[in-house]
Amino acid sequence: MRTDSFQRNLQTGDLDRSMALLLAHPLASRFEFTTPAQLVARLAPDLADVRVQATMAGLAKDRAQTRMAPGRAVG
Amino acid sequence: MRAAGRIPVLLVIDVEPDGFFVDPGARVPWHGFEQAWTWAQSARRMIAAATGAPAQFCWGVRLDAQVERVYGSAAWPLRHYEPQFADFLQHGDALGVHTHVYRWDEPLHGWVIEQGDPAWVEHNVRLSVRTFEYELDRRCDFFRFGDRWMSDAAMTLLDELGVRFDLTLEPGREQVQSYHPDKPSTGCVPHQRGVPPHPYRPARGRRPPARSNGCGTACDRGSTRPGSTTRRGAFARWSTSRSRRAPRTCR
Repeated sequence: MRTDSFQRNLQTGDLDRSMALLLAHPLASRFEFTTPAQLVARLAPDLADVRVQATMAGLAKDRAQTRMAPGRAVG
Repeated sequence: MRAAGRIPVLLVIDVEPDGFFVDPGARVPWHGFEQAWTWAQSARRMIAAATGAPAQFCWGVRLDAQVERVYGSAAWPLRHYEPQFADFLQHGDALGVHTHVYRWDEPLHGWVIEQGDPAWVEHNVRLSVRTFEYELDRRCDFFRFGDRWMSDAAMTLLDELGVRFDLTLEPGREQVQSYHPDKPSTGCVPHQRGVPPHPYRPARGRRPPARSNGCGTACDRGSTRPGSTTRRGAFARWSTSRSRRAPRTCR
């Protein structure tokens, strides 16, 4: 059976370590794992009722500004 | 905590086969996704404990021509994993479409990455979005191309199809010929310098494509849309080469 990147990260523990790191952030209690629609409504309410584009890495960059290690999309 | 004090986070998971260039004769279950679903259940608990709020995830499912060819129907994952998707909806997760534009080439007896063929790209986008809507009887919550590829035409098509959010672009990333240099491909993955690191609405229309090594791409801070109240610089205009070229192997 072929092993994909998710399975590798799961098997090596990288996934759980990354999540633990994320949730150990001083601001973690304020995190809200949410949907694109809710994120845009929160961050750009002027765009909430139109077709817009959000970027995942852009969000990673925002996280970097709060001293969090940005992730990268795979696939 | 009041919603206004929250920091929104998107966790986006691609729902796809275990490999990119799968054996077209083997309908292998998506073991990685199956494990991701199991992991997500424990992750929800961890996140809820840390944040005091329920966690919602974003799942982008492959419903493109490669899936159709290998599994007999582009809708296969939605049908085969119906309980999982029902679980996602129950949790209020976002369900979207994740599309790769791989084409099976009989003479080559292999997959070709057809990012340089606008007609093939359009076919895959339409197939994916329509399949999603037909099977789930709802609009997809977001779209996301594979390999962070994007074009003006594709963005316009997504708009036409009613897709509200695209999660493909990654600000600052450089142009690469392919993420799979050992596989034949057309087109290339455009640089994404200048893409705003925040939600924005892309400009409409296009300019003549810039060219670079036969797979020109360009991105700059574009003009605002007439009547828009959004500040200048919040828009990006994209141009990519649209000419169809013979598959090539980049080495």
